[in-house]
Amino acid sequence: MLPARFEYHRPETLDEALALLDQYGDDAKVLAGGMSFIPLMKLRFASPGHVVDINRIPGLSGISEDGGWLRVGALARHNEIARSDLVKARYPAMATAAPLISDPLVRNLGTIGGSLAHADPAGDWGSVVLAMGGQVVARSSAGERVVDIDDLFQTTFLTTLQPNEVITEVRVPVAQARSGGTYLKLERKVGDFATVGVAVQLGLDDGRVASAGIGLTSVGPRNIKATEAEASLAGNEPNEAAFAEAARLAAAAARPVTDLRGSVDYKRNVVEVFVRRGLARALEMARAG
Amino acid sequence: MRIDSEFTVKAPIEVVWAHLLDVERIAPCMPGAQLTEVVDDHTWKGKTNIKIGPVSLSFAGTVELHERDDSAHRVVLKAQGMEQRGKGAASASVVSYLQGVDDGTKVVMETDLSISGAVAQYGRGMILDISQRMTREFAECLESNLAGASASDVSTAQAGEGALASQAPVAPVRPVRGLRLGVWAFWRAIARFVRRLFGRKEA
Amino acid sequence: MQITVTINGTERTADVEPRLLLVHLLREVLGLTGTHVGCDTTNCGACTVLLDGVPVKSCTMFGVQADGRSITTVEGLGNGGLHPIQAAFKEEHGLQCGFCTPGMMMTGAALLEENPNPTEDEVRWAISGNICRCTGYMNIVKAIQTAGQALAHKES
Repeated sequence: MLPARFEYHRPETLDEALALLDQYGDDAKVLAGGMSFIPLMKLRFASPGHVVDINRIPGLSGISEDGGWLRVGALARHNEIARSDLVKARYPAMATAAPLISDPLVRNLGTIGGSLAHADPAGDWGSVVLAMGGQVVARSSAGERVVDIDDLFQTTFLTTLQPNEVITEVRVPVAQARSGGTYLKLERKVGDFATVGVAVQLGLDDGRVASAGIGLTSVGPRNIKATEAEASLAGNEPNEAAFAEAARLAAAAARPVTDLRGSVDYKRNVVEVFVRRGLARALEMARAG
Repeated sequence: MRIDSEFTVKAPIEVVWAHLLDVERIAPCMPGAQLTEVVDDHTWKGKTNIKIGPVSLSFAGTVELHERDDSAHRVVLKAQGMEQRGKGAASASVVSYLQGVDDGTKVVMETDLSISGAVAQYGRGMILDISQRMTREFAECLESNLAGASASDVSTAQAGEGALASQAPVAPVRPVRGLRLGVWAFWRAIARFVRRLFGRKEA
Repeated sequence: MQITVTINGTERTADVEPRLLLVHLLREVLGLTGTHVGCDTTNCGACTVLLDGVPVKSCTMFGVQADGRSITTVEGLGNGGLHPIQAAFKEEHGLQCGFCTPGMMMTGAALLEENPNPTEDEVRWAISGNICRCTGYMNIVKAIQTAGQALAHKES
């Protein structure tokens, strides 16, 4: 189907974009990659009166390490992140996740900022950034605020962003030695949403777990941070028993629903298996690094 | 598809029953729903506008009070609605009843819902959370009503925690004589289910 | 609004509604019907075109987003004759009904620009956003690999 009519704005600067959002408020919607938003518009589930295309705004797509963070511009395309030598070398959870998002054509346009702002619980980036303990930078005409990723997501398609805010940057803590991470995704076919996705990030200190992050995709109304599972690992020996317990807790934290992709029990089971596998892989990397 | 929900209010069953039948007092607790016409003493027309993030849906339809049992504190409603922009149609049968429990009254709603059209095709059943949020907001609002709070206190409570209340346009409902609990339960169930269904397909 | 897009090397101007999808701009306004609408759900990739050389699903872009940019459609692949990938699809029987074929070739052409000698896995990965109901993909993969070899020979 065709989208409903709208007015199209293509600001050349961020300030212009923010002014437009101030002006049109809730009736305006930001267009980044459009790979989630335009399908919604084509189905007329979303019909904003004003579309603010931010794709021509410069300076929003870099990937660099700075001040203790990996800073990824909100407009960085999934494929750009997948191909980044920096990400491939030092941020394995992101490097494994990026090529698994949707399909190669969608990855050429879809953006990490757009994915997080869209807050689809089936969004892969949400779980990765949750596991890595990341944050987003939200700009409005009033200034800038930094939002912890776990505080960004409220429920499906709903974030804590105000109508006049745009995500400009996604940050994760800079890579530490003795750390590893990965992303596992079960999908019925390429391009499908995850049946279940699990992001894992593990940091060791003196052989014990110094930090653990687990993010879950498609098993709840939003991407889930498995905090109890994470806490069960902190400070402990990274052994099979500990991983099994964390996996069990993560599965318990999942809130999947039965649908065409599988039953509640099936999806919980996949969470458990993926968390165990993910932790094992992350541990290998951490011990090697 | 079956949706069950319940909440407990700290008040005796007869008080809750009477209160819930007092439309004017509970109407402000219902975000997004609006009554448009009273057809007769057991049939009403209404609509509900739902906006979550970028998605907005607008359902309009008819609710019929099928059964009412004052001694059992039980109502059955039948409802049909159509999405105003061709997204689909919904029909539901809602059984709602009160139960006395230790510290008050449990309000139970059992909804049998079927949805057709685009809304159903793109439904992914991931938003049970929305119905829980709405139920929680409704219950909190109701409880403060029952505690004798004033109308302004109710709207304050509503505007506080409830992200949904602030996101969804709160349509002030014109109180209608003879309206019963079940209508609100129906619209809430519809809104709840429709909120589950706006997931479009591709990444 | 007025937009100017370079299509297959030629500047074209049109006055369009913002909501006009890029695929409809190409097909209905500019008369280039080689790009196909297959699914309406951003799944099938029959609408694949090159946007500044990058393969994208034109059904999930607005025409106005292409303002000032360059698009290559299947009509623009060969310069008068057949592009090696078109010749390869013909030789290797890489199509049956042909509906997915323009999209497959655009994606294939973009892959070969970057990776002139892809393995079977690399081809399959690259076309994983393009669905074919007829062929079972084997000859599509062969065609793309054959085209790669042909392009390499042309250069050497």
